[in-house]
Amino acid sequence: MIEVNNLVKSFKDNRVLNDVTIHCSPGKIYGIIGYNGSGKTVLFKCILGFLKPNSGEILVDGKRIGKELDMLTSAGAIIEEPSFLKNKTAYQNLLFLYRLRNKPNKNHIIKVLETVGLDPKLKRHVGKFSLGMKQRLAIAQAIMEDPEILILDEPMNGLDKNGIKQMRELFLKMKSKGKIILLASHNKEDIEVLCDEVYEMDKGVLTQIR
Amino acid sequence: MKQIYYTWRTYLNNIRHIRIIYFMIVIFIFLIRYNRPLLQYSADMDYPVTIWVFPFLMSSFSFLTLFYFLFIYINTDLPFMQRVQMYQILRMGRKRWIFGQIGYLLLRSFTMVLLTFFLSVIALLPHVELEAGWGKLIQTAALTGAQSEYDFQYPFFNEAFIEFTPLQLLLLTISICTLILMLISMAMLVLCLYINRSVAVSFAVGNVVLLFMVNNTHPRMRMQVSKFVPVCWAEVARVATPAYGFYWLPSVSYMLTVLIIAIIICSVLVVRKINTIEFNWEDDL
Repeated sequence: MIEVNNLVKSFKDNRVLNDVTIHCSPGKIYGIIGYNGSGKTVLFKCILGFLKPNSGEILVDGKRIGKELDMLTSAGAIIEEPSFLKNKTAYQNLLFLYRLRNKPNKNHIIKVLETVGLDPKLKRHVGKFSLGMKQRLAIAQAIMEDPEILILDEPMNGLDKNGIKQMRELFLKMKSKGKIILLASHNKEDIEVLCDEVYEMDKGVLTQIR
Repeated sequence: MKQIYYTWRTYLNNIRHIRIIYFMIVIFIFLIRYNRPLLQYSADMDYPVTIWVFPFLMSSFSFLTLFYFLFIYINTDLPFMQRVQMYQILRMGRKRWIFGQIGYLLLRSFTMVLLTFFLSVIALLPHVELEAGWGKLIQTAALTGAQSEYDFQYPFFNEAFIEFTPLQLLLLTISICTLILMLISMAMLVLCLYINRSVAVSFAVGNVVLLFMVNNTHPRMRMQVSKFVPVCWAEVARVATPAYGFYWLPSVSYMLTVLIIAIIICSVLVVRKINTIEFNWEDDL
């Protein structure tokens, strides 16, 4: 359970989040739409613990981010454009990240890469990947530890039709497993198909529209 | 174990960065230039050089200045806010992540010093001999007028030959240089986190400029001044050598103690700050 209560975040005099409140329960996908710069990414960064709110609180399973929890390390996330070690393969990147918290499990990494439609045997370095391939890899790193919470900022960026279909199925499958998914997207169709609740962010104000 | 794994992987993932390759290329080009007089002397004497020139090389004001400037250039990736770090910090948490970065900075500092040592040997090839002692060539050079006659680019000190074995002085120079580079890195990291990168770079450059000040201070005052300028301690080879009757550097134990304490203080400041900073990611370098 994620509870964001009366969150305010300003950068100098610019108030980017204005009294934002949203409660998210397991087994649901929450969609957030809004123009560029409306505050969606800042909200996600606050939830993950990258940014410190000026006031308000974020509770995850009753634990406050920034107090009881340093960061939301149990979440899988994609924020802004995906970025990886450029001189490593997709497999090497995932293995490195996976081993930061888990025992190495090569078969698992291979399976995750296949799930997102990337060839585990591909020797090409990530620096030479297309945006779509990087996006698939970003989704792979977000889901590979089977996190209870997924925070996805524009996860369909750069994906082709087939990729979008694959990822929609993947997110719906994760929802059915009881995960909480927070999804920001410009694509109305993604929001329509995937989300149980839809919110609009406008100038830092979050309003439920469905 | 996870912490060690993360530190080691961070080191391996970054140590082949293009800036480190630039560092090696520039250092090597200058080493060829700096070793030329010594190699000419070696050819004239028909006697090879031993591999122990590195401590004396670091006593060259101009080489040391270049070495530090190149190292500051490498350090411009501080405070590690590149977007690629995002997925790592999310898995490690703030504290374990910064411990990994501090460990990486120490390994990087050590690597830069070690690379410079190896390059100093390679630049002398093929006129090099492997000998446990200092070797006749540089000892003769230190005792005769050969240094000025051949216009050596770095000095040899006879007192160093008496005070230290070659291995002792080499290990001491590597240790002190590593700690100096680590201190520069940590001081830059502190300033990046508390103020900004421009201030950090200016501070580091300012410290290197202090080398010039120490070099131009009256010999009577030089040791007092150098006590407060850690960057000049890389010239540890001259610790036993008085200049115009006055010693140049403080004692080795003073240098080591101050460097270690200063690094610990910087580490504490970094760890304290990391709990409260906000992560605004920037493009990868």
